Amino acid sequence: MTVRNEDPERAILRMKTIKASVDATGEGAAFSYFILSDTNDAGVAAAEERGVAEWKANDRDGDRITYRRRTVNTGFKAGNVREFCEQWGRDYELMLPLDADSVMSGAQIVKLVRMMQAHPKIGLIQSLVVGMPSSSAFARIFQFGMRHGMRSYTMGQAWWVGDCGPFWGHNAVVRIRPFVEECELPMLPGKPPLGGHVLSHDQVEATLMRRAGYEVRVLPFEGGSWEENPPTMLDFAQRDVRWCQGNMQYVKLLDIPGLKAMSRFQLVWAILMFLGLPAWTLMLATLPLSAHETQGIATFPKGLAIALYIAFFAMYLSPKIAGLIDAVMTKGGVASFGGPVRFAVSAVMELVFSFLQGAVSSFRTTVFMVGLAFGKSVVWGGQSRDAYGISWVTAAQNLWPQTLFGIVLCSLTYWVSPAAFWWSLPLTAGYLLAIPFAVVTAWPSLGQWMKRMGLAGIPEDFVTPAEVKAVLRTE
Amino acid sequence: MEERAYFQRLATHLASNLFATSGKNGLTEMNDAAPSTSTLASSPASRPGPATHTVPSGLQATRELSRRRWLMLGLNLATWFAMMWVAATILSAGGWSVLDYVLLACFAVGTPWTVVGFWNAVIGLWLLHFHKDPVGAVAPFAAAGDAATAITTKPRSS
Repeated sequence: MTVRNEDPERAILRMKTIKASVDATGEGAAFSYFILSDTNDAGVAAAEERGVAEWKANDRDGDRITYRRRTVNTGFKAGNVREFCEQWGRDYELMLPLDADSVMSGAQIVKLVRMMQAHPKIGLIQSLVVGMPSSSAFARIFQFGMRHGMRSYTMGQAWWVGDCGPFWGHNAVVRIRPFVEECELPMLPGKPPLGGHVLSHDQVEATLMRRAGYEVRVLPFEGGSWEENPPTMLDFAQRDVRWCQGNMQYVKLLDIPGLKAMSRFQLVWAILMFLGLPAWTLMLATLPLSAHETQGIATFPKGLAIALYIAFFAMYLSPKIAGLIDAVMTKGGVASFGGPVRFAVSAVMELVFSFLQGAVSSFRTTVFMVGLAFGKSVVWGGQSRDAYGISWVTAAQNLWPQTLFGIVLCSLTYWVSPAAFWWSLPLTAGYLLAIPFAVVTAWPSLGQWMKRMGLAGIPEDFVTPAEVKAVLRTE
Repeated sequence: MEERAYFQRLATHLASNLFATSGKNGLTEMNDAAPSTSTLASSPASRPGPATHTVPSGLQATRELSRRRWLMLGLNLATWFAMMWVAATILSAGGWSVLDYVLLACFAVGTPWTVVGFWNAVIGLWLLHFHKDPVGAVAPFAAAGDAATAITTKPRSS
C-alpha cells in the first residue's frame, strides 16, 4: 500500500483488514505486507511508524509486515512502487498495489493470484473496483451511477480490448519481474506541466507490459475490491484535473516504439477523453451565435436538429440505461439496490446529478486545458474542503467562473431565442447552479439522511461484506 | 507543428497496424523518426517473434480478437459518420459559415467517447444477458480463480 500524508490509522486499519481476510482463506502464509510511505509531514510520519510498530508487535506474522518511508518522493507514486520493486521485487513473483483508501477481500485476492499462477503469460489482472458505502451525498449519488453503469460498459469494453486491457494503478495483481524489467517509465522531455515525470503512470505501464509479451486483463465483474470516491464536487473536480494533466502527457508517449496498436489506441483514447471536454464547452459557448444564425434561415431543419440532439442524449446515457436494464433483468438486481422504489428514485436523482456534475467539471477541465496549451497549470480557489461540508464562501471562490459563464451564456441565449435556452438547459443548468450544487451535495445532514433512507445505495449499503464493515466501523 | 506531423505519422501507423495480429510492425521507422522517448527506445522494442495464432496466454485466438475489434471499429465508424452526416446537414442549412465549421469540428472531437460508450454498453448488455458464456468470452482466465489450487508463488525468502 502506498501512502502519502493520509490518515495513518485508517490506512493501517485497511491493511489489517485485508490481512485478516487473506489469513481467513488459509493461504495467508504466501503473502507479505508493505506500507510504502512518501509522507513528508513529520507528525503523520511518526504516527505511521507508531501504527505499524504496534501492528507488527500484535500480529504473529510481524516479520512479514514492512514499513518503509522515502524522504524524497522521486517519481511520485509510480516512483514509490518502483523503489519497492527494486528493493524487494526479487523476493516475490507478484504484487498487489493498493491505495490508502483501497480495500480488498482475501477471497478475491487469492482468486486473482490463482489466475496469475495458472497463466504465466498474463502480466497484470485489474479487478473491477467499486465504491464503498459513503455518508457523503455527492459520493453516494456518483457511485450509485457508476455501479450499475459500469457493468455493461466494462463488460463490452473487455470483450474487444482483450489482452490489451486497462490498469488503474491499484487493486490489481502485477507480475513483478516483467514490470521491473520492461515497464520503467521514461522522463518526458520539456518542462512541467506536460514534461517531467509521467503522472498517469498506470496505463503506460499497461501498454509496456503488453509490449513485453505479457497480457493485461481486466476482470469485469465486481466483487471483493473497493475504493472511496471524492466526497465533494470540489474534490472531484480536483481529481479530474489531475487525471487530465496526466492523460494529456500521453501526447508525448504515443510514439513509444513497439507498442501493440491496441495499446497505442488506449493512449489516444485517454487523450481524447479530455479533448472532448473543451469541444463541448466551445459548442455551448457559441450557442447564442448559432441560435442567432439559425433564426435567419427559413429552411432550417428543426426536426432533424431535435432528432440528433435526442439521439445524442440517448447514446450519452446508454451505459446508464444499460445498467438499469441489467439491474432489472438480473435476478435480485433491483433488490440489491434497496428495492424498486429506492432504485427508481435514486436513478432519477442520479440522472439530474450527472448533468449538473458534468457541466461543473467539464468547464473546470476546459479552463485547465486551455492553461496547459500555454504551458500553465491553472489552479484557483482556496482550500477545497472545510471541516464540515463546503461553505458558501469556499464554493463561490472555486466555482464563480462556472456561474459567471452560465449567467452570461444563458441570458444571451434566452435573449436570442427562448426555445434554444430551454432546449439547452439540461446542459447549462450545471453552470448556473454550480455553487448551490457543490454546497448542497456536501451537506453532511443530506448524506446522513440519504444513508438512513437507503437512497443512492449500492449493494454494500444493504448487505455489507465483513471487510467493508471492518474499515467503516470507526467512521 | 511537430505534434501535428507526429499525429499524421501516428494515423498512418494506426491504419496499417491497428489489427495486426503478430509482433511484426513498421513501428521501428517511427522510432527512428521521433526518438523523443529515448529511454524507451532502448528497450526491447520491436521484437519480431514468431507469428502466433493466439494471445500469449493461449486463451484466445488472435483471429477472434481481431474479428471483435473490426466489428467494433465498423459499428463505431458507421455510427460516428452517420452522426457527422446529420450534423453537417443541419449546419449546412443556409450555407457554411465559419461558425458552422467550428461546430462541426467540435462535434467530431466530442462524439467518439459517446459513440464507443454506447456500443460498449450494448455489447456488454448482450454479453451479460444473451450470451451463453459471458465469462468465457470476456475473461477466459477467470475460471482458474475457482480451481482449488494451493498458492505456490510464495515469497522466495522468509
